[in-house]
Amino acid sequence: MREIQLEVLRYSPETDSEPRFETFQVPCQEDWVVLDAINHVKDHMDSSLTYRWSCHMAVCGSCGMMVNGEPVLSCKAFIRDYPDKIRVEPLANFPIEKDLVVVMDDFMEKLKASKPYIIPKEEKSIDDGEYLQTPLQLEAFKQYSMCINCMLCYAACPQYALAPEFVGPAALALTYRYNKDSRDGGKAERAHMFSKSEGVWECSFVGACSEVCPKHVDPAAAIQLGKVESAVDYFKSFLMPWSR
Amino acid sequence: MSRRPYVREVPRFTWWLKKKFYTEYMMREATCIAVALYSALLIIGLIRLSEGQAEYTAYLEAMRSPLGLILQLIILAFAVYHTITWFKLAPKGMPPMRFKDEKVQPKAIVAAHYAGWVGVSLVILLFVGLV
Ligand code: SF4
Ligand code: FES
Repeated sequence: MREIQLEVLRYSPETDSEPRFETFQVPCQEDWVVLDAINHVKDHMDSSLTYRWSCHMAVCGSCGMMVNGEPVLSCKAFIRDYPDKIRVEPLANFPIEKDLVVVMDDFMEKLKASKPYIIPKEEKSIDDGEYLQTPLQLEAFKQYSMCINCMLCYAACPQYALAPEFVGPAALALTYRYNKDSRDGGKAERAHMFSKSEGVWECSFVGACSEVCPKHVDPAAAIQLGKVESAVDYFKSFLMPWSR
Repeated sequence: MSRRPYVREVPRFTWWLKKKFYTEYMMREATCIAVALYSALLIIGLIRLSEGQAEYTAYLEAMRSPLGLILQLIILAFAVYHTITWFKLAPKGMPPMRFKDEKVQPKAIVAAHYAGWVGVSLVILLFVGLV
């Protein structure tokens, strides 16, 4: 049993004019993650504490928050890796709804507008059978398909902090994922989000997104490769106008 | 329930001092000025060369003076930092490659960059007769 000081940023839209820190002394077990400590506070100390979580196993992507200043999944952040004083705040770069819950409308809208789903090259009927794919074709995008929409990459990205119109790492990585899918034919439909200046071109390649991604998606790589493709497509449209 | 989302302000000019990772990024970007500065020095050298032997000798003298050497050493240090940090990122800008049916690992890409650097440096040193 180890006692930690858990500093939590609290904000109640009904009573607070701005966020404030509140400290809890939490007795922690050896194998606890930060989310366990937060759950302990909610169960035994202050039931009004508000935060999101679901799976407790780094799959659902809902428990992202800043722990000692870094965006992490709180269910994957082991207390034993932290000092006795742990500070938790809602994900950076998003407005605070209440306590540790952020407003994620901006990300959701960008994600939806990016059309992150297969738009088939040619429609087939069920009788025509499956869309086949070789392991090599799968490899072209598999890493980018691991995203769990946890938004840690947005919280890490200084570019998104300064220019909120930036489409951002996860939405761009997912667009790249579908563009690279051999079954897909929707690249042109996604270009309005991907290749615009607030798309890949807004990225200044800080690379922080890839550092914090819990699923090793490497969104920074997807965006840089996306820049190359977007530039090639641009020149192609001049040289071969019929290919548009 | 009333909604009143709170927006935390980000310091517009000092954000990059808040985290080591951001500061390193800014240094990586800023050290490109050193590379530009050295290119300018070389161009000045070319101009002096076109002006005649006396001018070119004066240019070489200036470059060999303590001040010239210190300037070049500082530029070299910044250029090395710039190079190393970009090499580290090189795998992210490369399309996936395969070699003998295996995916080329990021480490191999970085190593190839270093090998290229050593190779080009050797050629230049040979050319100017330093090795
Ligand atoms: S790219 Fe990584 S960090 Fe970003 S939302 Fe997806 S899983 Fe999370
Ligand atoms: S609770 Fe699901 S990812 Fe942490």
